[in-house]
Amino acid sequence: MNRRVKFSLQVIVGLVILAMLLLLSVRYGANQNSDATVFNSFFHYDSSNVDQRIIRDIRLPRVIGAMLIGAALAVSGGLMQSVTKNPMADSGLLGINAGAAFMLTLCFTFFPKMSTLNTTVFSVIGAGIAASLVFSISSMKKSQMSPTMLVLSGMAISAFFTAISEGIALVAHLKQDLAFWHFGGVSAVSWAQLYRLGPWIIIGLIAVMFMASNLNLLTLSDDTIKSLGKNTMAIRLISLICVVVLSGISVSLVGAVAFVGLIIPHIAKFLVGTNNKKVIPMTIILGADLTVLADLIARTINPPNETPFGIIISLVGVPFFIYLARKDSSQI
Amino acid sequence: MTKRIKLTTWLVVLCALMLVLAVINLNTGQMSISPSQIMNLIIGKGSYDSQLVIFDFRLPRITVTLVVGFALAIAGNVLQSTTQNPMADTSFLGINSGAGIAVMLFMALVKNQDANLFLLPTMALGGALLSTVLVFAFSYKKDTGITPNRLLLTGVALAGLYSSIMVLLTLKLSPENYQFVMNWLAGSIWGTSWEYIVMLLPWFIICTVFIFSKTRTLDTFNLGDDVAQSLGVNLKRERIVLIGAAVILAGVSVSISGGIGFIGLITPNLARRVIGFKHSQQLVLSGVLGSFFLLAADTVGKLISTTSEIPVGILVAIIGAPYFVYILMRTK
Repeated sequence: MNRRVKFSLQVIVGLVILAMLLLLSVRYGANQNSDATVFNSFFHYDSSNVDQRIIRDIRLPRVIGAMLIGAALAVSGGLMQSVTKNPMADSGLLGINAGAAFMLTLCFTFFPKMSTLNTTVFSVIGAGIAASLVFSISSMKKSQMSPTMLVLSGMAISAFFTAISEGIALVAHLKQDLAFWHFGGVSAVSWAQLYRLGPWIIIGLIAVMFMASNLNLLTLSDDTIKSLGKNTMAIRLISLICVVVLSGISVSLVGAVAFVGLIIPHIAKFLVGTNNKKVIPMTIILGADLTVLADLIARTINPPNETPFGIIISLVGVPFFIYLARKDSSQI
Repeated sequence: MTKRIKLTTWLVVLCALMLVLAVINLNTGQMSISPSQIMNLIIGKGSYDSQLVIFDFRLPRITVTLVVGFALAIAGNVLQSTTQNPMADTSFLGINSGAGIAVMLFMALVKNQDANLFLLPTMALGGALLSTVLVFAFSYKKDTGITPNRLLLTGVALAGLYSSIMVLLTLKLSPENYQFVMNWLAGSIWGTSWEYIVMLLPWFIICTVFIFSKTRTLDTFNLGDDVAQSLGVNLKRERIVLIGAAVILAGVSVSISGGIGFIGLITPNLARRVIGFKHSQQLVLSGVLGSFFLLAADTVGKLISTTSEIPVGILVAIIGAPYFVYILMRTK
């Protein structure tokens, strides 16, 4: 009972922080607003007021976008850590984001007028290709793959896709904007995109929540699972599909952002233990907290210029990664 | 004895192939020059134009390609032998991205770039060395020292951080400088004049001679730390010194060739498969293989498109990454 109270408290605190961050994000940025404007834009919306329109049409979609993407990336990182039994897994580090970015480069080069919805489909396909490469490499090996090896194979896959993307970009003279996009920013997220893509992210997140008890199985050793008469193949496959959809959509919206999926599941496990029924909701909340905060910092650190928020996240993520690499030397 | 014959055969075949490639490479470009014209040039007859193009542009470029390929390959080989990890490569130590940041800083900060052209490779070398020192410092732990795997993981993490800093700098560059930097990062051989070659040759020679004088020590690494220790080899010190030499070699190479990865990764593995673990043979073969691969990639890149040359680094990564995954699958 005590534990349950503690967990509810943690969820509530996480949600309160998220709500506060959302309000701050709506209020601050290149254009500062008063509390009254924020309030009015929600409850007494006046479409002729520019400040209120900025809040409704520009700030709100990007903040909601940041929130959804944070949750999606964090959950897909957590899923990959469970499936590969590898504490270093993350969709950025394993080359999945690079796969999605590769397909997007193809779209930008050969079909510059393609609609956002279609580019998203391609991005998901790219993520799928890269993900199936990583997972087949790690499962085709008879012995368990060490975290270092998995990260290195992710590096190679990432380098492969990035090299092809770069080559195409150079030959086709793609613009400098693409570099910004490669490192992520939620500035371009619009309502139209959210209406189309948001539901998929939410469906993916809900699907993962329902899988929580099955994911707990994966923490057991392969022999134990077999002796329990369970087959983990289906769980792995569904997890893989969720990872691909969630990270593919995220990349098409904000670009290749790494490290969210690495950091957040670890923090969530640190807070609530290892039971996935608690870990996954916590991961979703914390992931949203992190990206909304990173986006807020990215906008306010050097106004009116925007810093790509992927950079802010790397600044936190890299030290965390090094900490992981140093912590458990026996395993790595 | 048979091994020696095998090695000689391989070297002769590779050199013959390289000669063919070199002739093709000399012929291709914006101005095509036929082999008979080259023959004329060698005996001192030939037009001024073709003389200029061959002796001042294409020949130095081929020389740089051969030297850099050789250097990167033996640097990777030394790194793999000293860490006993066939997956190691100097590009995983943050060398490429460290040098990349320095190049970007040069482009962004130095006003009179043509007058300070020698500053560029110097800064690149400095950046490469500095980032390596950082990688070593972060992977050092009091009780266990520096373990090979931690070194690689830290390098991967820091490379991620560097690339996000690079994106920040990217946004501050003019479009022309941006094109140069993008080409540099993708690994295009740009330092193609005799002055650069003269400036960098001493480093290459010193490090290469040093590494070749240590072939016996490198052999003892194969025996494992305990056995080598009992043979009286101070492995920890030798490892640091040898890695230091490898880093200088790779840093110097990268400073004139741009961010080329994977050469140092694949060639030593190939060499080991062909000739075995004896370093006096293995190093020679991987070096020559390195020259061969880089020359081949450069020639293919020129053949694909003469107007916008595809950087070698991209072609090397496209071939190198799949081979890397193949090695990964075979390694136990």
